Amino acid sequence: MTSAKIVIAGGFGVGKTTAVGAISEIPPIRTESWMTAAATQIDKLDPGTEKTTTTVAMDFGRVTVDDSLVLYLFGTPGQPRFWPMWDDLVRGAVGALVLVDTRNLESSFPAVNYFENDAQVPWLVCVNLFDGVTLHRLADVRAALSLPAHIPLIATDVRHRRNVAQALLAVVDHAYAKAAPGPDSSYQEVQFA
Amino acid sequence: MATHPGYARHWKVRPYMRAASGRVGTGRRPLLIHTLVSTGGRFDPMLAATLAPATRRLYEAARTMCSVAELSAHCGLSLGVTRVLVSDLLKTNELILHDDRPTDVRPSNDVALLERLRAGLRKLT
Repeated sequence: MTSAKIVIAGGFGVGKTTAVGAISEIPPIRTESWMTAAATQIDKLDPGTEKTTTTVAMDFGRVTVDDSLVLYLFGTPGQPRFWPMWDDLVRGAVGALVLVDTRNLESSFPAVNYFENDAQVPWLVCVNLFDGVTLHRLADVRAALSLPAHIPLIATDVRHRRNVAQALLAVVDHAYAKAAPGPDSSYQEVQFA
Repeated sequence: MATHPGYARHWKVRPYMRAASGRVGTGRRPLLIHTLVSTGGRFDPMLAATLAPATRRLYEAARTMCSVAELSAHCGLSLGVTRVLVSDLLKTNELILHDDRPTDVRPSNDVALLERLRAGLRKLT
C-alpha cells in the first residue's frame, strides 16, 4: 500500500476546494495545518499576553487509484505569506496544479511565482472555466502569466469529476515526461470539454 | 533516569527526563502529510489506556489505515502536533508506516508510481 500527493494551488476563490470536492471520494476535509506566532491576522491566546497565533486551514481529499495506491489532493492555504507552509505541503508531491481564474488572474500570481522559483515539483497551469466558456485565448493567458513555454497550460471546468481527473492526469503526464523523456509527451495547450 | 556508573546521584544534581519524542521523522522514510499509517491490525486496548489523551486519540483513529493529514483532521490536532505524536508511535512500533515505494526516488521521478497513477486516473476520465 502506498500514497501519492498532488497539490492544487491558486488564489482565493479560484476553485481549489471545488476541484478537490469534485473528485474526492470523501467530502473535502478541512484541517488546521500550522500555527504561527508571526502573523497579522490575530487571535489573542490570552488577554494578558502579547503572544498571538494564527491558524491556517487547508482542504484535502482522497482518490483511490487502485487497490494499493491512494492519491491525496491538497489545496494550498490561499495567502502567499504562508509560503513556508507550502514547502511542507509540496514536499514529496508528484506534481502541482495551479488554478487560475481569467477574471482575476493576479490572485494566482503568487502561486505561479512559487512553483516557478521555489519548488522542485513538476507543475502546470489550469484555467478554470467557471461557466464552461473560455473568456480568453490560452495564448493570451500564457502571455499574461509570463508562463515559460515548457510549462503546460490547460483549461477545464473543475466542477466536474471527469475534468478534474483529466487535469490531474495532465499533471502526472507532465511529471512522467520529465521523469522518462519520450516521444508521447508534447502537448502545451489543451482544452478539455 | 539512567544512572551512569561512576556518576553517583547527588542531591544538587537536577533530575531530568528525556522527552519521548526526538526530532520528527523516522530516519528512513520521511513522515509527510500524505504518508499512510495504521496500527497494522495489532490495536492494543491495554496500551491505548496508558497513552496520553491526544496520543490515544491518534492511536485509536489509526485502527483504519489513513494519512497523517486525515489523523490530524479526525483528532482535531494540528498537523505539526500530529506529526510529532505519530512519529513517537512509529518509533515504538505501535503504529506502522505503509509505503511500498523505493526510498531513494522522489515521487515526481518515480516512473512506476507515475504509471500506476496514469492508469488509475485514465479510468476516471
